[in-house]
Amino acid sequence: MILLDRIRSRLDHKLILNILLFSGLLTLIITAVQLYIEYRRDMNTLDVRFAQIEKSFLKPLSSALWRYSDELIEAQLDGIRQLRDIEYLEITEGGETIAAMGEKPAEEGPTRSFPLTYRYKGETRTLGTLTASASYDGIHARLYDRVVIILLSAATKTFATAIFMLFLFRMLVIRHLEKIVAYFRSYTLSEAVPPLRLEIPEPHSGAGDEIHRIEVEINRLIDAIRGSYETARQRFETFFSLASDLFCIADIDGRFRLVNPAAVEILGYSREELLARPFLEFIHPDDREPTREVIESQLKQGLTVPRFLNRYIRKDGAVRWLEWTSHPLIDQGITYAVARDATERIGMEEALKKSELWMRNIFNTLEEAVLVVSPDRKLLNMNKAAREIFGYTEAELRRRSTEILHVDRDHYTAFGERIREAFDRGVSAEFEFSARRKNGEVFPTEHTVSLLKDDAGRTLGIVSVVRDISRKKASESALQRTLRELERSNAELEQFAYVASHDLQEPLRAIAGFLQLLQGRYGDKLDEKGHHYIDRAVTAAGRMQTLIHDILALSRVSTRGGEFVPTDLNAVLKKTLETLEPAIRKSGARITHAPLPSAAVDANQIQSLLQNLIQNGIKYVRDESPVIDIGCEEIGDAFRLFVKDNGIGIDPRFHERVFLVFQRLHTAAEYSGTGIGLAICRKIAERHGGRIWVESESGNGAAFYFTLPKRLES
Amino acid sequence: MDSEDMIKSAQVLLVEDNEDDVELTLAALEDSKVRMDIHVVPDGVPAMAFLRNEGVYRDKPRPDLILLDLNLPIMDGRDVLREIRKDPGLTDIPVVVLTTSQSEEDILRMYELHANCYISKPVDFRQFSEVIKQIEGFWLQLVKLPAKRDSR
Repeated sequence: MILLDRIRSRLDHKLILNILLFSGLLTLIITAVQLYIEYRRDMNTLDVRFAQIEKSFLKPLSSALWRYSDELIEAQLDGIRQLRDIEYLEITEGGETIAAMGEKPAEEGPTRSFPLTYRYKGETRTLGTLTASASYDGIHARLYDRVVIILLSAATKTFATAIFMLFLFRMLVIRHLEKIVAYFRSYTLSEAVPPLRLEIPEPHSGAGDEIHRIEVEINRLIDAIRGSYETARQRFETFFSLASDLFCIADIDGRFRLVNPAAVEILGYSREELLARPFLEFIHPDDREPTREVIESQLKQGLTVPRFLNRYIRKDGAVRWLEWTSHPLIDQGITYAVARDATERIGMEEALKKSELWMRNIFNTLEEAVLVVSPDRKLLNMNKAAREIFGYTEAELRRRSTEILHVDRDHYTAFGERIREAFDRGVSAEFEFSARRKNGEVFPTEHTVSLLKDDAGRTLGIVSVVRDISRKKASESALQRTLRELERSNAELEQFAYVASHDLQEPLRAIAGFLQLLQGRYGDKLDEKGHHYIDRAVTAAGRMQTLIHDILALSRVSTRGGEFVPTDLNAVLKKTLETLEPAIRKSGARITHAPLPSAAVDANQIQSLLQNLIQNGIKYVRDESPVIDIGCEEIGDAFRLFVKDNGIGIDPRFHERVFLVFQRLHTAAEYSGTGIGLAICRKIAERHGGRIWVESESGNGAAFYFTLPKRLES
Repeated sequence: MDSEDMIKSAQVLLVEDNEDDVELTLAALEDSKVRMDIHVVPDGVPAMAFLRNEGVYRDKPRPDLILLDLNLPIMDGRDVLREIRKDPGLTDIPVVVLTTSQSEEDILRMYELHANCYISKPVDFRQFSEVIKQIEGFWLQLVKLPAKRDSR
């Protein structure tokens, strides 16, 4: 059997076997036919023998028998015996054997009996019967010899031919086929292989023989295959390495077999590291179970899994979201998978979600009602404040016409006109308009409408910010009322101040006047104490008049103030110093000053301010004569003027108090004054939009500062 | 007053509604060396009537000096001054404004209306009487006034 298999596996052997079988069979058939023909001919020769006996030997034999010449009989029989295949001869007469010759063949062979007759005197007499028995043995033996010879010669010829053919076949075909097989066996696409070269002479002309054509065709085919393989491989390689998405082939049970450069890029591991460990180990612990679940329930069932998300942990510890699409090849036990780095997208989605939530919260936290309206005036969206202001639920408003928010149809139409006009001029507009709540209440609103456009500039709708200004309206009228009241009370105050300046002084003057009249006319009737009392009363009345004057002056700072006009402050200071000239001369004060700027001021008031400060410097002195320095610095958008003295100074505790009305720090005996000068100074500074303060330590002089805005227009 | 008197008294019209001030002014003028007749009216309306010799004032003389208080109940001193200066028959009579107001606004206004003099009434009586004396001395003795015309 093994032999048979070996034969079957080899073409030449198969060929030889078949040739041998075929020519053997053919030889046998031909030999059989030949032998049969020979056999028949041999058989026929037996008949010929018997005919020969009848024709040639019966007469002499009969004659010999007739004479009883044994010698003759014997000679005749011997002559017959010489005939081939005649084995046995017997002459019988009446059942008695007269003569016999040869051996009786063992097998029953063809036997023929001939009557032996002799014509004697006209009468034919039967002398006996000759029985001749032939034997097949001779024929058989000859036949056998012939078979052997034929077979041997045929076999020899056939075998020799077969050997030659085998040789020829090997030379012409088999060795080439073996070479082709070996070529293909060793052929690999992964490296360059020289083309197939068979050991055949170059054909002189034409296409050569079949083997040569096979060689050509194989090389052509291989070139074509190699070409398309290279193209496919190149495409694959290029896409594989160019792709920014992760491409991989993985075992279904857990390892990468092939990863592209993007995988290395995305996961931060080298290719070797990625292939070395089961991929589940790279997955975020929380996502391992869902991933395994998908592998088991879908991939292993041969199902393609689209857009599956999980997280991988990079080598540097960073987390990457990957979106996988995997396609398993069950029979190969592998999965093709593509993954996109979705980290940024998910981050953006998260951020978007967060910012959407953020925006929605802001949207709903806004105190103003915000309505988003489509171009055909349907409500697309509205915030919480909008629902609250109008008293509707979201379901009642969404997709409804804005008409339900208007007082009536006319208002609705008018509002539309208004918006159209506004948008003809610009992209947003602001106006007041009445609106209607669900409960029918009509209320005043302030609308800010803006066109909502997409990036391409197409109008998406209108954003309308609505403020319920009913309270504002109410407070506006309340404010108007308050303002009117304030104006009236200011006027009253002014009137009061004037009355105080005039009418309060009259009785005061009368009191003093009559007291002095009393003193003048009836002085001789009063003792010294009486005169003293009158003096005290008159002095008190005088002080009261001063107080009244000062209050009047204070009230006039704001009620009778002049306009602010650009003024050279040097001129104002010059005038001030001229006014104070007597006091300065009297006190021996030394006054220095730096150039002052120009500013928009009420010159009279600034003069009075400077005058008060300089007067204070002259008044509140220690034993030495006063030294006063006046100057100005630029502080941002303001001028800061100062008046510094070397006087008694002010304890920091009182720095605020000195500017209040009637706040005096000294008794009238120490330093005279009503305590209103600095209050007037503060009022003047504040009216000019500035402020005033003092920097001082007790006993170290004082520096008064006041600011004036750097403006020249009034 | 009798216009036939050899020694003519100066005619002074005091327009003052405050009785205290009237009395104090009179007291201050009492010490004067100049003889004068002092006519007192309490408001601008009778003052104009006096000057124009209307009604009860038909026979009153033309004053040589007017002492005018500004704040008067019905027709105040400013209006009186304006009327006097508009009236050609009165415009040359010197007017001294007596007032407690020290507001520059008032003072400016008075001079615009051609007050001849403006005097703040001091609280101190001695000062006040000094002022009064200066006024009479100046206006009634020193200043040579235009020749008197008949008021009619």
